[in-house]
Amino acid sequence: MAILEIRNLRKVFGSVIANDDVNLSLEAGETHAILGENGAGKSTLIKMISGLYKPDYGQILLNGVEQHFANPREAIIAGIGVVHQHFMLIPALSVAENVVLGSEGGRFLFRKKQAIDNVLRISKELGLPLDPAIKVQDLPVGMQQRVEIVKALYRNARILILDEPTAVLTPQETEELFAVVRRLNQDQIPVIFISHKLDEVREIADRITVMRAGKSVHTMPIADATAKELAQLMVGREVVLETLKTPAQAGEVVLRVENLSVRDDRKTTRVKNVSFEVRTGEIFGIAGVDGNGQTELVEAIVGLRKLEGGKIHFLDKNITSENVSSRIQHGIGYVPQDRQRDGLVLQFTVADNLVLRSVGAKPFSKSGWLQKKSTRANAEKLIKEFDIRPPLEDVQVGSLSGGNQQKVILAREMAREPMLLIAVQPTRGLDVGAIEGIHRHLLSLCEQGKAVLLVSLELEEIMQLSDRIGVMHAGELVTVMDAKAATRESLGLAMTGERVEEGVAP
Amino acid sequence: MSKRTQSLVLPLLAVITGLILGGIIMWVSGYKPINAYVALFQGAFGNSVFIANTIAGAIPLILTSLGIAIAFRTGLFNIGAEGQYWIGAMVGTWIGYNFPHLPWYIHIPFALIGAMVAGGIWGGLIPGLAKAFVGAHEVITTMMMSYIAILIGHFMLERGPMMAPGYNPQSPLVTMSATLPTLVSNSNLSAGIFIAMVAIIVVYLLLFHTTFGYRLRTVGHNPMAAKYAGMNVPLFTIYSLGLSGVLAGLGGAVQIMGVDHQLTDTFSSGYGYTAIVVSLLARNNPIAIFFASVFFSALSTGSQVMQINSGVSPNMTDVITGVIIFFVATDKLYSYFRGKFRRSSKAQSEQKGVSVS
Amino acid sequence: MKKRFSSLALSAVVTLSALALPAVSAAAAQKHAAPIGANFKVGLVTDTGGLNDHSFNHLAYVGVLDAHKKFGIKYSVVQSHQSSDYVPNLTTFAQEGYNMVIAVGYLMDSAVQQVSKEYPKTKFLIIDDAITNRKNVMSAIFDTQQCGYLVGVMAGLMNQQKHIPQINGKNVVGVIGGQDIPPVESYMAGFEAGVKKVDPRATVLQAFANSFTDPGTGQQMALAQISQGADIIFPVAGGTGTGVINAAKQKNIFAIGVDANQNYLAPSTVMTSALKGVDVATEIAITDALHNHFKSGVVHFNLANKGVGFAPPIKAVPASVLKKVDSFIPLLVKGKINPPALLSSH
Repeated sequence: MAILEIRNLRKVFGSVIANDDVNLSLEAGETHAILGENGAGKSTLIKMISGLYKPDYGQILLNGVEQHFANPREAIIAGIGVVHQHFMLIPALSVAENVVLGSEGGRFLFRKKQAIDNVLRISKELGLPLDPAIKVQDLPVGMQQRVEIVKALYRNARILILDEPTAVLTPQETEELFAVVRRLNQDQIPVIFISHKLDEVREIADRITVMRAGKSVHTMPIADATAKELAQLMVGREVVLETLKTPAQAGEVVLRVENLSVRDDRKTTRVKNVSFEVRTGEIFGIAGVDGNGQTELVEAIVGLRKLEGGKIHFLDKNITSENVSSRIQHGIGYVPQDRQRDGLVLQFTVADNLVLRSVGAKPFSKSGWLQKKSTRANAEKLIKEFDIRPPLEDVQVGSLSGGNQQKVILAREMAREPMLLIAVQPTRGLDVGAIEGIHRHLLSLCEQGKAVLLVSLELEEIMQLSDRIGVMHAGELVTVMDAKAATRESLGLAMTGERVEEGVAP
Repeated sequence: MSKRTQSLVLPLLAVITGLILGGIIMWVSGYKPINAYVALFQGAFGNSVFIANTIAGAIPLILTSLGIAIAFRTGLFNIGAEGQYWIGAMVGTWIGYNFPHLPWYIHIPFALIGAMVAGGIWGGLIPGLAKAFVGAHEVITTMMMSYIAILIGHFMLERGPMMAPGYNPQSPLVTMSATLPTLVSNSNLSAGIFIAMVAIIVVYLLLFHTTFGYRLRTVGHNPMAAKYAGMNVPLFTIYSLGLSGVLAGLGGAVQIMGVDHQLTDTFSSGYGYTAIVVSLLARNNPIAIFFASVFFSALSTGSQVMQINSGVSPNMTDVITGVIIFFVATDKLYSYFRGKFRRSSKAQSEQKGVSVS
Repeated sequence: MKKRFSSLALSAVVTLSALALPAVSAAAAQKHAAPIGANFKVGLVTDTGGLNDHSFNHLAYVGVLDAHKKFGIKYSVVQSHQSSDYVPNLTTFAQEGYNMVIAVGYLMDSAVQQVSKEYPKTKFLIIDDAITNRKNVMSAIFDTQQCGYLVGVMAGLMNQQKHIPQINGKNVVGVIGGQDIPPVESYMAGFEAGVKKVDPRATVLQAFANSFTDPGTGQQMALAQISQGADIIFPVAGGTGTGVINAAKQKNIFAIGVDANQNYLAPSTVMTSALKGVDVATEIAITDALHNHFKSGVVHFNLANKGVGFAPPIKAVPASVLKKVDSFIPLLVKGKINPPALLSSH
């Protein structure tokens, strides 16, 4: 008998059908992937299983018994553990405190020793080493995810749901996560694995259910599925999986960074003496494990962070001491890593967000007055060009899916026809269709003779798109190599800090 | 329910609930609620003088609330509008009685601009600079500056430099040349209403039709994104609090020049605080602020006539208006309760799941 | 809770102050027994202090109620929220054809000036103010320096008593004003003069709380004066004074009430109260107007017409002290002693 069974589940928000006739069955000890584009209804389904939403129609059965969760707490008690894409952790508390938070047992005093012991026991059983005393805010993303998993197991989860778990992980961390998933399966704990990455799903899942437009369209054993078939099921049409990259005609230097050193907010030097150049017509990729100074480097280049030392030249002009807005005017486009935190004003409309970085310039304003017509025309044009959905310029950006939010940012930055586009994790958390579109846009920039600085944690992405690849480790640019010469292994080695001769693959 | 209708319906529901609860309190205390409410309404809108007084009472609320709304829109909480209102009134009064030979078309703008500058410095520049450069929280600084302003006002009047010769702690009357003409005789309604209307339009245009307003709102919603877009966040903090103070200061001067004509200890009944509630009720929308201000003013003028005509005791009318304001100010309760009712069918299973945490 | 407390306190004041000045009321009642006021309407406009101020707004209301009981007059009350309400409120009463409109407090001076000019047929009474240029306005001024003087004499004498546990022999008394304004100052000046009259070497501590509504500050200031040796404190500070009376009760020293009999606040330590007969004045003004004897201009209320006085002291005050205090009454009435209405420091 299935541990979890979903029958004909349906959820409607206003006029939007988020889920319709969704069916799913989860067997003991299996990893069941749910694959689908953003907006296909994966999140809604998870929210119903975890008690955040109530289904309008249909049944959720646990071990054959129908469940009606009134709130997430009931779902947790029933044994459903969810690790959300955005972690529900309190950064200022320790790992142990986070794990036991909300299930301290009703006592007034917090039993610290016991909590620490429990965390140690669970993490040991899983083979997931964790320091219970360290504060969550001091942990890298991958470790924070472990805390979430341990937290779910601490609450006796009998089913673990991982929502886009690899979106924030390095390749190594992803491998470690997969090991944990396999171990859970051995302990007869089934895992629902939400993803839109075909490769991963094929590697980890036993069975797979594809969702499209709110419906579960197909369930099959993983062995029966080819990547092409899955992609087609997801998108509903044929997809070109490999980006066809034409080699760049690298031209003059657009950005030159010399001996750059940057500190973070806590005054620790995070970028050490980094120098490189980006030329017209090329994509310069920066690979590296998260937290090795990429963020600080980019923030320094766009003017959001002060330098500790070094110089930045843009089109032969020293811009080291210029502020953000004049760098924008010079022609630096920037797609930030955290689109909701930095890149958008969620309460503003799509149209307003599309002029966020150019509102003071013609034609969007005239002597201080907003020109709403131009703003609207601009929005209509970009919505069409970048296929932003829904195609409405006056909806709040916050109501858009992650992929469409990213399209808004990319559209805005590209519409300004920058000489240099800096894109950090531009496809983070996006689905196949959206990734394909964004990659196409980045490549088209190069073809127009512009330069792109791409920072990504996804090796595949870096290797697919870049002409040259720099690898950062512990704040240093350990190597710069030609993309044609780079292999997964050579890059992976460099990411651990091994110095490699430039342009030579070991 | 769409967001727009919700933002209209919820405040209305709040008003109605307040009225019903107030009615129950009166009924229990042996009064006739219907009669009382008729008297309240008549007192606020019953004849041209009452209507004029209601609108007159809304003027200082409109101006001060506009200021608070600008701060809110920028993500800042100007809790010291009362003090900025006082400073504006003080400067307006001082200019108003000290230059008797100026023609009105110079004297009035002079007094108004003086009050605006003073309010702006008091509410904006000082707390704004403190926030921008040393991170002092504006709730603390504006509130403290407010106390200082009010106490300076008392000092000025109680044997201080602004006390009129004689017996009472009050300033001299402002001269005719600094008086805003009364529009409806026997009422408090002065030409100040035009200033308030212009202010509404200016603030509306500023917030929603200028790049300046766009940037203010960006800073308010998401300072990180504002930084990313190259906006100078500390500078906009200063602008925002400054404008907030300018409007509150203007409110104080308009009240003096249109209604009170002299500064007294009891010249404000806490407009600066009521204005916070007005801005919240109006969701910081300049147009809605007009209606919210008229509503609050109507409660105040109406309740006084209600005391005279309905026999409801003055203390009771204050309780009733207090109840209504409470419900209006806390209309967020409705959204909360709506959520609760939706889940109540599953109450029993919820109990099972509750643990103390 | 707070509301409830204040309404309890209010009814206590009503009862006690009605007891405090029975002579005038009783006499008036005998003279005019018939319900002749059925067509006479009186409107009362409070200042921003409101009816629960334990002071003149409240006492004016008591006066109106007394007149209502005696003559069957009709009345209505309105509380003002801010100074800009004064004109509309006075105007509303005048428009509605009220025969007499009572404005409580000097703060309404300019409002009464304005409205009384527009409605010359309506009679106005203003408390604590001096309007002399209107035929239809009566201004009630209280010579509170006289009652201040009497309680000052009592304090000076008490301060020299030997066998009263509350008296510490340091010969220090205190007075705390709400704000530095004339109606407060006259009490304080009279008090100081009274103390010095019978006890020239006494120290009179003086302070202003700068508020009439802040019992916390009142308590702090009283404790400060107590630590400097004060054993009798006279607060002239409205609501702020209740904090002073609390502090006195806490530290077991004497306090003196003001305006109304405030003994109910601390029965064993409020040794007396300086009384300001706003109720008496209000009732007299209504009575006069009702009988077409309305007097315009300033009318002084003082010891001679029982417009001011002091409340019967508690038992701790020896009969000899009371006798001595009483002996000053004729001197004040006849004008042989004229206490200052201004503090010497001004």
